[in-house]
Amino acid sequence: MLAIDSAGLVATSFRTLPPLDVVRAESVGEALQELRRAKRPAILAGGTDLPARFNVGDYPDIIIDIAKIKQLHAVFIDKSELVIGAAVTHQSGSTHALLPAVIPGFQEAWKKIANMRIRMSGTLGGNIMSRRTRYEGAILLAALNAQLEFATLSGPLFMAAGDLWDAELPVASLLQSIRIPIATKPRLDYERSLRPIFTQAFYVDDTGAGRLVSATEFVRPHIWAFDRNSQSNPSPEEIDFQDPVTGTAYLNQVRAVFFMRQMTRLGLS
Amino acid sequence: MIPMEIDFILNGRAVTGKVSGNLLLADYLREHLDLKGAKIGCSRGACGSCTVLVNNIPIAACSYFAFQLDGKSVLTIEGLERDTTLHDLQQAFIEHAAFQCGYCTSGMILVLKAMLDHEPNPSRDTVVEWISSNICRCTGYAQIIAAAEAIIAMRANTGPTEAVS
Ligand SMILES: Cc1cc2nc3c(=O)[nH]c(=O)nc-3n(C[C@@H](O)[C@@H](O)[C@H](O)COP(=O)(O)OP(=O)(O)OC[C@H]3O[C@@H](n4cnc5c(N)ncnc54)[C@H](O)[C@@H]3O)c2cc1C
Ligand code: FES
Ligand code: FES
Repeated sequence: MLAIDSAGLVATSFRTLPPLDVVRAESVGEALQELRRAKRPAILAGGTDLPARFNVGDYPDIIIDIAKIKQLHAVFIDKSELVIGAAVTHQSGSTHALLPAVIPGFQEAWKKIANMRIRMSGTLGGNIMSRRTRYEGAILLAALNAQLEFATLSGPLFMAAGDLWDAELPVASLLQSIRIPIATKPRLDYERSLRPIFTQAFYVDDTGAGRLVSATEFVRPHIWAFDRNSQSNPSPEEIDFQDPVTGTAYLNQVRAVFFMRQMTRLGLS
Repeated sequence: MIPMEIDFILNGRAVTGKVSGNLLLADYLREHLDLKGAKIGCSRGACGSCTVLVNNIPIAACSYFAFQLDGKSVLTIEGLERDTTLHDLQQAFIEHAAFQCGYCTSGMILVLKAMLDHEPNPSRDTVVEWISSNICRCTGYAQIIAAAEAIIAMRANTGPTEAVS
């Protein structure tokens, strides 16, 4: 075998990550206590987004690995809600047998997120908690009117998924689960053919309530709630998107086209 | 920062190692264990050239800490051949010229190995879906898909063979 010292011939990964401590939490309580003690903690779920934080110099002094916390991996129905644990991966969640019956369209939408390698490790909780406007978990969950359940030192905290993008959270908070109301038989359609420039999730339920979440790459997604009973033929008003990269006129045009397609796919026009 | 002791299976052999919390799996494999098959490209989990299988799931070793291996099993490209006999996927890559520079190859082969373990008889769409996890800048993917399809066809006739003679 040819012996070559490859140092310098191939790129190395970022070794500039400063020393850090690691806690492999066994329970939500343990994770919270560590979060309380730490100065610059990072929660590690699937770890597919954290490197992006490191790459911009956001270094933690402690990593709190939550993979071993069993309760964060469950998917179940609790009364009239579909409950998804924060550490459920895209792959296991989107292929879960419960999904197609309780929320038609959700499985198809969730399956479109990322690629197989990312889907097998990346979690729904990590997707949401990255709090990036182009990440799709929160877009789908905002359309579905989901509630996020956090564990904090002062007890559970609930927040609408659509409020997370600009919400202030307590430092020691751990997303435990995502709770999606299913009593009114929600249906979902998701169009991402122009991602990341523009994506749109459209929800309607049996009561006639609807929500349209229109997302561009760099600004907080826009949520439009409507009621088909009072607006028999709803059409979304123009939005001043203010995306720094894509023009507002174009985005509104695309929004209207997607909306028409989605109305058709959901059997509403 | 106290180094952590980890126990894991590396390419079929039990290993005990000491790692610091900030050591990435890619560096652990390449610099500490001298396994250079996992290549580093983007360091961001995007290109897949550093792919290894952890508990039979494709993982970007650049975005995975070495301590996370504790209690798990890792397969790198070096662990694929048996007694100097290539794995059938490696052989198919040669026969179908499924690489040029080779930088993506170990990752591509391991992604396909995971796919075949999860779905022994995948469709072409499934092959495309799985290899879309990784980037190849040389082949245009057609030869990689051809190599995968050849293995699928061969295994449909002969059953799974881990290595060719
Ligand atoms: C190549 C590639 C392609 C991708 N494609 C897509 C795509 O098409 N669509 C898309 O939406 N995303 C995409 N992603 C983003 C992908 O990282 C997320 O989808 C994934 O779900 C993140 O989850 P994770 O478990 O890996 O998060 P991690 O990296 O573990 O964590 C992400 C952030 O969330 C925090 N966090 C994690 N869990 C919790 C919790 N329970 N409570 C509080 N904070 C928490 C972490 O501290 C960290 O800040 C892609 C990523 C890559 C690398
Ligand atoms: S180097 Fe790890 S995915 Fe690109
Ligand atoms: S063979 Fe060169 S990148 Fe794939």
